[in-house]
Amino acid sequence: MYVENGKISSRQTFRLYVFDLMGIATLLLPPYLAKLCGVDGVWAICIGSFLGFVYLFYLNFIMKKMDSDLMTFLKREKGCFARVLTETLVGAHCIFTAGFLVNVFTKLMQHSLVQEISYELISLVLVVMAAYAVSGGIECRARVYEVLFWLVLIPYVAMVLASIRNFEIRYVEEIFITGPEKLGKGIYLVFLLVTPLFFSLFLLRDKGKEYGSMVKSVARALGLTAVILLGSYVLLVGNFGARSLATMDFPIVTLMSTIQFEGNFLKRMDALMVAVWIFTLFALLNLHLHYGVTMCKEMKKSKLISVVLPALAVYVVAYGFQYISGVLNLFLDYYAYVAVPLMVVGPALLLVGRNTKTARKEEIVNEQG
Amino acid sequence: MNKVRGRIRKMFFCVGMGLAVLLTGCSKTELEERCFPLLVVVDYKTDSQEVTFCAGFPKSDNSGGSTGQTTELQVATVSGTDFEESQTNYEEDLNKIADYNHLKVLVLGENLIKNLGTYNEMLDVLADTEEFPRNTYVCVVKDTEALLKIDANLPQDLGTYLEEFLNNHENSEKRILTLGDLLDEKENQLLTLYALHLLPEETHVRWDGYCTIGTEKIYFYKENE
Repeated sequence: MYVENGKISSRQTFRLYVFDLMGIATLLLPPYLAKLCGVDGVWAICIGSFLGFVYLFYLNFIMKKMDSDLMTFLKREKGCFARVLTETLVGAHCIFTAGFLVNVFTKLMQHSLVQEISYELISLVLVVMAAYAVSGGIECRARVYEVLFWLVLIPYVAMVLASIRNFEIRYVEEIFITGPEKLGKGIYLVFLLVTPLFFSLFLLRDKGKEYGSMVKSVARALGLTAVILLGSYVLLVGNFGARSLATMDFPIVTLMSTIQFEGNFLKRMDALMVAVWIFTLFALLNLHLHYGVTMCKEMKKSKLISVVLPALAVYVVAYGFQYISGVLNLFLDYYAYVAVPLMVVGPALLLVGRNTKTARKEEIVNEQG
Repeated sequence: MNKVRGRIRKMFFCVGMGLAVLLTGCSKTELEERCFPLLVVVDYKTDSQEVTFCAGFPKSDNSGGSTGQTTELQVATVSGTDFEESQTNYEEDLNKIADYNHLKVLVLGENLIKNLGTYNEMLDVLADTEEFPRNTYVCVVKDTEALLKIDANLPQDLGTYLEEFLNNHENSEKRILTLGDLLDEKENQLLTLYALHLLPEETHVRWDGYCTIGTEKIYFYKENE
């Protein structure tokens, strides 16, 4: 999918995946992790990221077995029922996740930039812009993010490092005190946020060497994200303390607002730094809307309908997250108990239920070859 | 067909950009309808058991420019049963909406920090509303009324004066306490916080030591202790 016109390089894949993974992880993970594990959240990040690598290599193994990307494999080897079921599940998951991301994105905008603008208007603008970006093609966005990469990453790292000045060593002394149950939950939480790696199954595998470099790019992106997340978490705990961190909505944005430079210049760096999450959350929103649209296209051939319908659905879901109580908890339960297990077990199950006729044909071709 | 698609995309883009225009600016409230306190002074009256609230603004710009605030914004100290009520009462007396994003110094009365329940209530409100910036400096004075009186004798406003005064006392060993420190420590309960204790005199303030803050019992330390 990412390389459908062959114009997205492995470098662009690397940068896109860094944006996809780091935005939501640095924004939402620290307070939850601090609540569960306190300072021991650093171990959860290390082990969760390691599991992310294991998951990526597992997906790579599945792709080799499939000998193509997931969509081609489904068309080639699966019956109508299995194909439609997979497309429906992936499409619905993408739309629900995109709705959740619009909800988080809108809250961030209200929290940091436009407090008095209504939720409906901000989320509508976001969905319209995301739909426009998706209809423009993912290659176009890959190029934009390639350009933005260092513009986003350098100020982010500089600001986070500047917060070392206020680091309080007493806040990180309470280490090795979290029980295995809570640490396990923390690890699962970290793993949950690296599951967008699942979409690497859609990377085309038409050229072996190119595909190999794509997987390496995704692995490098995961490594860089893990380092950024680990550094950010340590500094957040050192600046706010684990208990205080657990009560915050967007602690990383708050951290940006507390950093001051000598000389009274760059007064509103915090507002400027929100751009980091505007770009990264938008990238992840686009990733999910893109695959939601792709699944819809597979079922409905009209391009207009296949873009408008998922976008509308995302808006409705985002509205539900804001105004229907309990939907957010339901979504988190769905993610933890249904989506993540399916994303782990599902690809292997597809291999098990392989169409025997096609497999036989392949064997004959191989024998003849 | 491609032309139709192109038009639809352009239409989407125009609608998106049109809506995005509505998001410009930071707020629906115009700048002229806002006022920007640089200083907030909060204390506790032990006799009436009320919390007092007062804010300090930039001094009026006599040249008629748009940078200064007018003197009509200077409202006398207002009290209420708790911090939230006193703040609300004070803001009702203002003829503009108070925007605390430029707040520089939060001065707490000694009586307030001695009354731990009221002090913690104030921190709860500040944590919930997030109205005051976390890097607002915090200091303690014994007599808040005496501090407010020196405002008239200063060439600049009291908030800017105190900010400069505190900046001059900050070095790597003496980091000035901020509101963020108070909010964090209320949750963490790990550190003992020391706030700068100031003594207002006729035309200036004097630094006379430190006092602990957020603890059951308040301890005072003189400069050289």
